[in-house]
Amino acid sequence: MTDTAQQAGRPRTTRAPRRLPYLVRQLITLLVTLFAITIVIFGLTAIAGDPARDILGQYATDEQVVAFQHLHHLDQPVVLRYLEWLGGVLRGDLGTSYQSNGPVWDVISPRLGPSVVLVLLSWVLTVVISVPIGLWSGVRLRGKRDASLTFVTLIVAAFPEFVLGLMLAILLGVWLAWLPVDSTAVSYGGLFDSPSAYVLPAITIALGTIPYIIRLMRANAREVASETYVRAAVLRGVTEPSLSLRHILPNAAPPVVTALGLQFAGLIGGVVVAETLFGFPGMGQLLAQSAASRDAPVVEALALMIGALFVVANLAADAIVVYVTPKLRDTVR
Amino acid sequence: MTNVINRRTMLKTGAGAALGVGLLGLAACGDDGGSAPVAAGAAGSPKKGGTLRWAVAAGNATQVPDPAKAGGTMPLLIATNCYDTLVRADENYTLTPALATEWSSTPDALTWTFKLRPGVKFHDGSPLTAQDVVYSFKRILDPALAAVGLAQIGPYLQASGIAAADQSTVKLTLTKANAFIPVMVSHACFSIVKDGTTDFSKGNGTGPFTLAGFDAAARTSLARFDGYWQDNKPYLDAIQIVVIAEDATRLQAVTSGSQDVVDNITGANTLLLKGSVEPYMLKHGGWVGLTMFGDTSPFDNRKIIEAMQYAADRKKIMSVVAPGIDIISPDIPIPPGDPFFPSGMQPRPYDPDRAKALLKEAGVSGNFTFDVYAYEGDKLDTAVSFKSTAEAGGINANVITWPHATFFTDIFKKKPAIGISVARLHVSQALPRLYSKGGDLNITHFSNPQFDELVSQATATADEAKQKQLFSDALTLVNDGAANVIPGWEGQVYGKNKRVQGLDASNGAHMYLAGAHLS
Repeated sequence: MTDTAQQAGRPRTTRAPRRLPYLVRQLITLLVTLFAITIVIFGLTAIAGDPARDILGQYATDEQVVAFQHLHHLDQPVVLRYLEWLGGVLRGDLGTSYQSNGPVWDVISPRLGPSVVLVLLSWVLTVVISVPIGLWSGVRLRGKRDASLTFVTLIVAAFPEFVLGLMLAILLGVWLAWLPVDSTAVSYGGLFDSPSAYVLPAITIALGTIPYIIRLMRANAREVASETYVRAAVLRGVTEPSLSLRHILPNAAPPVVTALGLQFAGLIGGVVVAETLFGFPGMGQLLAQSAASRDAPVVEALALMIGALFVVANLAADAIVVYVTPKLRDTVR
Repeated sequence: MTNVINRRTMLKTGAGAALGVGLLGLAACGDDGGSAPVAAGAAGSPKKGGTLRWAVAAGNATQVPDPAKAGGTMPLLIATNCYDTLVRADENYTLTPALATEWSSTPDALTWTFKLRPGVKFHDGSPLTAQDVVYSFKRILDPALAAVGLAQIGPYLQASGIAAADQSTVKLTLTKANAFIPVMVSHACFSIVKDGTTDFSKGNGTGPFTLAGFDAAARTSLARFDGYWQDNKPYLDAIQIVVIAEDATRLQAVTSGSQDVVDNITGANTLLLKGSVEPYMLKHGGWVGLTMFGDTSPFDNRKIIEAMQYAADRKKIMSVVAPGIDIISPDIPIPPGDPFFPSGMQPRPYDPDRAKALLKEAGVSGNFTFDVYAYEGDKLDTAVSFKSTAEAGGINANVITWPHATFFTDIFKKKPAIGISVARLHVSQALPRLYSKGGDLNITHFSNPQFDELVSQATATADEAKQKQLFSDALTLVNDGAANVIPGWEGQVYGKNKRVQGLDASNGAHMYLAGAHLS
């Protein structure tokens, strides 16, 4: 009896090993990735060396340096410091800023709002500009006009963001004087008191992504447009815009959605550049300032938040792709 | 984000811990400034009111606005305008009374008495008393605070030597004579704070402006203090200070009118300040040069140092490092035009043949090659342009670019030859700190008992003619003996809207804005 039970049981487990649900697997990936990120971040700031002299100044006495190192636990082994930091992060304590001597969260929190608004704005700009253009050019544009669009997107993509930003500032800020050249007005008043101050950095950040998304959308739309089911739809009498929106877009979208998800986090890189360029008082500017002033706890916290955002955005994009692609829904269970 | 940390910002205004370190200390409590501003404020009756919008290149909102720790542009602007010092010095060290109406020392320059101005009020309405001054100085002497001024006053004063003689008189009893205490305490890092203050976020000083906002959201606002002790001043209602790190954006911000004043205009950008904007220039911001360990081979050979000094085409180097400033210098850290500049001292001429001959005398066969470390900015410019002019003199400077983040931990005071720029210091601080035995910035390892004696005599005497003679002799010893090449001076250029008038640089070249107004 027992033999047959075992025989009956064994093949079943080997034939179809139990897999964890999709969501749980993704969560584990997320946690492992985040854990790896903490090691990299802490390791990088640790090998940058002891900041005590840079923070206190060369005239600081040896006693002052020792006191600083003791205060910030820099006299302890790096592994111990890492574990201490990790423990703090898990409890929601991001540490103490070397410069202000106050909680890192107090330094970061006032800058969170403006940066989030800026990233969302640039992301929305990216979507509303690049998806329609990419779709339209993939389905409709041929020949010289298609080549010119490709040329323009290549040119824009070739410019680094700070060059684009400066050109925009000269054009829209100095020559046409439509927008403020610098975004420092965001420092004063509420989050939405100076809407014009968001525009230049948002366009600058979006321009870093738009050419890429246009090209991706165009390539996918073109591929889908040549599929037999699209031709069948045309033969059935389906006309634009229904053809593009209902038949081509949903099938061409998945890689673009993934890319947009990734780009959402990728925009953060543009945020550091654009915020520094325009004097925008956000997290990107803080990251650049803190790295320059060797305020490691602030840098670590910001890097961790950006890393987490990247991973989450990536997973969210995956989930959306699964949701919008019926054939994937079954395979990922 | 090309230049988060800009070259000139670093030393001139000491971008906080950004660049970090020593020179910061220097910049912070050092002295900047120089000749008269190019665009002096127009005379006339100043108009009251208005908000001045000011953009700085380097700012770090995570720094604490404690004047004793002011090391960056933003904290220094706050210290200079929200607080007062006992004595005010302009960029050329001309002293005027501030919180102290008179000051004097005993003939041995060992005991200093400061008489406080009556009727001065802190922003919270409380009167200024001698106790506030005692508290402010005792704070600076506390090593745990890591105050910027400690390195300067520490060798001369102990906490026990600070006393309030009465409600309006403060007595400093020094451990070592110093006739230059008033110049020293005129720097913003010796600002007077209210007795017992530990939280500086509210900025309770006696200065012309109150600290209306300073937080991590990069918001620094100063508001007019109606109870300021100077009649009618300040003229402005408010000052808004923001950070724009990018040079090009800062320039556009002032030319397009979205900011009224921006700092740290570099190089050829000065030429773009026209139309409704103009430059405001402080020459003699600091010196640039190469320093070597004079006690380490091969730099312990005086002939090799001299060869380097003759192989430097000072004019050419300075045209690269500080175009438009054009101040070349002998190999001393005091600018021409300073009252203590030795009269008649000339920069060594560019003489590659003489350099070659000196190398030969030193026993060098062929070219003399050495490594020199520098980080990005004016220091690297100096080292590279030295290299190109010194080649003709048989000197091959192998310039190594080092990241500034680790420069002060790995290179500064560790490698014998470096490219450096140091903010202007008053002679009474420059000489002991840079060349005396035990000086905290003696990066040339200069050691000369006769020099030490001259400096300590000059510092101790109240006789001005004698001071001048003694410092002059000491500076000659530096020019003839120190292991450094100092080709010249670089300045500090602001861009300002023409309607901004009455800018006034104080000791350390931090703008004192009590007299600023919008026309």
